[in-house]
Amino acid sequence: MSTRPRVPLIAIAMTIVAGGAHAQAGKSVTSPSTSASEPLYKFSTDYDVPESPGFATLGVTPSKVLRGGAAKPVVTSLLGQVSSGGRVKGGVAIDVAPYFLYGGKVGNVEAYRSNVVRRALANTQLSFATVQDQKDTAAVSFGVGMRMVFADAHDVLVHPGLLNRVDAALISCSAVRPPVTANEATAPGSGIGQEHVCAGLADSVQSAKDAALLFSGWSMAAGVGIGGLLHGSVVSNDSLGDRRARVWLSGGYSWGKHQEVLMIAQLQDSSTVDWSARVGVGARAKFTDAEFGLELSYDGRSREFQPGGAGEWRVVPGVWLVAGLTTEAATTSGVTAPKLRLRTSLRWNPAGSNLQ
Amino acid sequence: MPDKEIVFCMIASSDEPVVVTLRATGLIRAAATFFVLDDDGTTVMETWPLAAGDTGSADHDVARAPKLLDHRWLTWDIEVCSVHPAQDTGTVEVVLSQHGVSCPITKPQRWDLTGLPRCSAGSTIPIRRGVQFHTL
Repeated sequence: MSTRPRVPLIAIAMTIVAGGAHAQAGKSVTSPSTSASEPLYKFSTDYDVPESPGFATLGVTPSKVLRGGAAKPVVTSLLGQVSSGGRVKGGVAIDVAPYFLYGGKVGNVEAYRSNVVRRALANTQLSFATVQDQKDTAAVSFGVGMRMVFADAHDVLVHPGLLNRVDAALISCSAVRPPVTANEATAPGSGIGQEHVCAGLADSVQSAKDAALLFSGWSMAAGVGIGGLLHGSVVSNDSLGDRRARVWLSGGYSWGKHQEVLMIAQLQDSSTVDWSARVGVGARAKFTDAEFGLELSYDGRSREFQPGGAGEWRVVPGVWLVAGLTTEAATTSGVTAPKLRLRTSLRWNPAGSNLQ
Repeated sequence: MPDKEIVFCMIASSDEPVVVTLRATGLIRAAATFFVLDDDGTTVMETWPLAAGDTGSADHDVARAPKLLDHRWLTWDIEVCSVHPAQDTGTVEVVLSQHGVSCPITKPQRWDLTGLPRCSAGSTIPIRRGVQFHTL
């Protein structure tokens, strides 16, 4: 038994993420006295962390009806899949938002709000996923996916005025400090001081995020991905099998903070079956530390309606445990029949949310 | 010990007020308290808050007439943080103008910032600096 083939793909993904993380860590405020790099994982809450596009490409997300909400900068997902036969297979996906990670910029919040293309780029997610093959332990399924978000009603940056409360907190913070005297203003150096805690600032951000969640509206995302089965440790034409591709459009409408209806239209292709469609609808009830959803999708390949349900629980800030129970068509000894699948996923979203 | 670094800002002693503009570039928030100090460099004569806001730019007219600003100081405490988890960079600038034209200044008051703390973490980076006015 060999697990060698898993190494290169995960290594590639880790290298890419590490490169971005290194780029972040290498940054420092021009003041030498300022803390140079803040660890991303120190921050607070998260919400609506989308499914990994890499897992979506492989069709192994706990929910088949995917979200349309905004991307997070870096998300790591661990997958555990239990089939009705009792076998368990694992997987890992790393999602990154490459636009900012590799130097993309947005001029200001107004530009983010008004420029659809820039906003879509800022919310583009690139994902690398591998899943252990159930039959051939020397092989892994891999998926590379990309997801672009065009609208998200809960994105705090798109609602004018919400961040004014953050400004007010910053002004309060500067007002309580002693006035800047001429002596201090002319001291050698850049004038940039040490990072310090600003009373009421974190609460003002949380308040803005809470206010954004109360908005009703649409979210919409498009995704595309390719994947396959990799035999052996070297990527070549001969070692690639079961190639597949998916494109999808997912969206939803939120009524305030707690209710959301989701929709998905997906096309999938594989080396064995031509393009087929999947459409689905779902409903979710969302709470601060948990989400629950039901869904029904129609799989054009098996021509079956496939019901399912999912639950998500916030284990600690930034870490969500996701469990989804779905039915899938499985062919055994030439007979195709629906089978239950339990998929669990542990999502680590270091940044916490799309506005931190 | 290095000498002090005084930045001079030349203004015309006309009736046209001096306009202070706070600019911020990037998905960051920058908000400040500005002070006009007497020529002793410590007595506050005028103060006001200013936030760059969503558009990244905000103006304020100095109430005191330019001819009364000679040798007075304009200082500020700007608090800066990032509102997007993936963008921790930005630029903050203070521009002084009169008659719609930037006043000559011996050193541009502009800071390119990286590694900014996130506002949600409750931390900021302060920029505490200032200039001395001289009338032409």
